[in-house]
Amino acid sequence: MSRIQNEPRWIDVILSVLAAFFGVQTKRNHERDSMTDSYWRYIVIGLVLLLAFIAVIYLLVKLTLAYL
Amino acid sequence: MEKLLLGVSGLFLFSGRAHADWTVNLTKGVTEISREIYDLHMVIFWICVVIGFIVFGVMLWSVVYHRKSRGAKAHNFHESLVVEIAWTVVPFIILIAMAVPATATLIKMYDNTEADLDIQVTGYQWKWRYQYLAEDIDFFSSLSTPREQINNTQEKSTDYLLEVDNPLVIPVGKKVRFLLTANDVIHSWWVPEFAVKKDAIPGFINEAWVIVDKPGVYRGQCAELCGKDHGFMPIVVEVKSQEDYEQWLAEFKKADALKSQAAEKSWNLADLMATGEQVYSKACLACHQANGEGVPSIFPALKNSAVALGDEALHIDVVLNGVSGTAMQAFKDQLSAVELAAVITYERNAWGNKTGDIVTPAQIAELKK
Ligand code: HEC
Ligand SMILES: [Cu+2]
Repeated sequence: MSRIQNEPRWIDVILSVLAAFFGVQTKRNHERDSMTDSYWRYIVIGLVLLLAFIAVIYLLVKLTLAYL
Repeated sequence: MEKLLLGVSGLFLFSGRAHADWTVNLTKGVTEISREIYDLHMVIFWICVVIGFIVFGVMLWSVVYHRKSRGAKAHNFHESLVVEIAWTVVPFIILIAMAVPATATLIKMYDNTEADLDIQVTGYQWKWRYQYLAEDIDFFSSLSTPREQINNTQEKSTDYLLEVDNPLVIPVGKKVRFLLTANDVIHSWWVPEFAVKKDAIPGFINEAWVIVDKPGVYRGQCAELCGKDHGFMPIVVEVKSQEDYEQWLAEFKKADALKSQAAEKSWNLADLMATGEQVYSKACLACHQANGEGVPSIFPALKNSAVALGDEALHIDVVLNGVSGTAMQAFKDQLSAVELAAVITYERNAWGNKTGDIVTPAQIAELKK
């Protein structure tokens, strides 16, 4: 397989990071991701989605305490 | 194999008879929260049973049905997206479904507001101290099982190691808040029927509360390994009706007043020695031992000790204020003036420590002020 020289698409990165959060990824996407040379988009999206995850948990706790 | 089975079933029969109320399940307890926890536990238990049956059922069925002798051929596929998603999503949904009622109960458990009565509970090596914050009540609660039972020279009673000299007394149907802390090491205040098991940590205050709906006597234990006599610091809570509780309060205060009067009367050596021996076996024996010889390199001997034979003032100071940083506690607040005077006199005259000295309750009462 030939290396993809250009950057991965943002939408693919987001989906891959979400798949990693979930713990299940298709073999096809996994191979596509490992063919790219650039990892910084994965790191950025990883951190952003991590913060989003923390925010969701925080909100859930707030909502639970307010309504339960 | 048959013998083994017989043996095992015999064991069950025996334990069933020996403890009529012996069960393997969680207790339902005597508070609303404890019953909720019990119900949660049962629901989750049955969910686990069903999952267990399904998972092992499918597994066993597959193993048997697709066995080699029937000509089964293995599929040689690697990952399956559908299966992987299914076995991630299904447990997730089950966990969330269990978390909803569990969270509702947890939130109730942690609602420490609006208590009718606040009691500070302090763990000591190896006893509990109860201070009623709104009342002038402060006492220690220690094991009352006789040493003879522990040493197997006497038949063990039904409440063996679960009985104390001064039980905690609380009113029924009232929200009682416990503020838990410890004096030396970490202890844990555990009364199964209240569904309360909370660490008592030096320098921290943990909170727990109960509303008990049935008068009675409830027993518990320290649940955090805290040293030599960890298994000898039980908890006894007497839950009384409001009138009985108020009567207890009044009697407790009267007895307290009598104690300070006792310090004023004059005591002779024999009386002090007799009282001193009782106090010693209750408060000091665990460490310094019955023969006063202590435990080498851990608890010093009092027999022939320079302190017990030497200067009275120094001896009194050690017992009243303890030795900081060691297991030797300050007994000033734990014992009455009479008890302190008696036990110090006892130490100065027991096990061949024949100083003939008398430390008087009046002397100690002066120092306690
Ligand atoms: C939890 C264990 C413990 C208990 C209970 C305890 N002691 Fe001690 N005691 C010690 C230790 C440890 C020391 C040694 C302190 C030190 O290092 O100086 C000590 C030291 C002493 C000393 C000084 C002895 C010497 O020669 O230095 C006296 C006196 C004494 N204890 C009296 C008492 C009396 C009286 C009681 C009961 C009211 C009591 N102790 C209960 C652990 C205990
Ligand atoms: Cu303890």
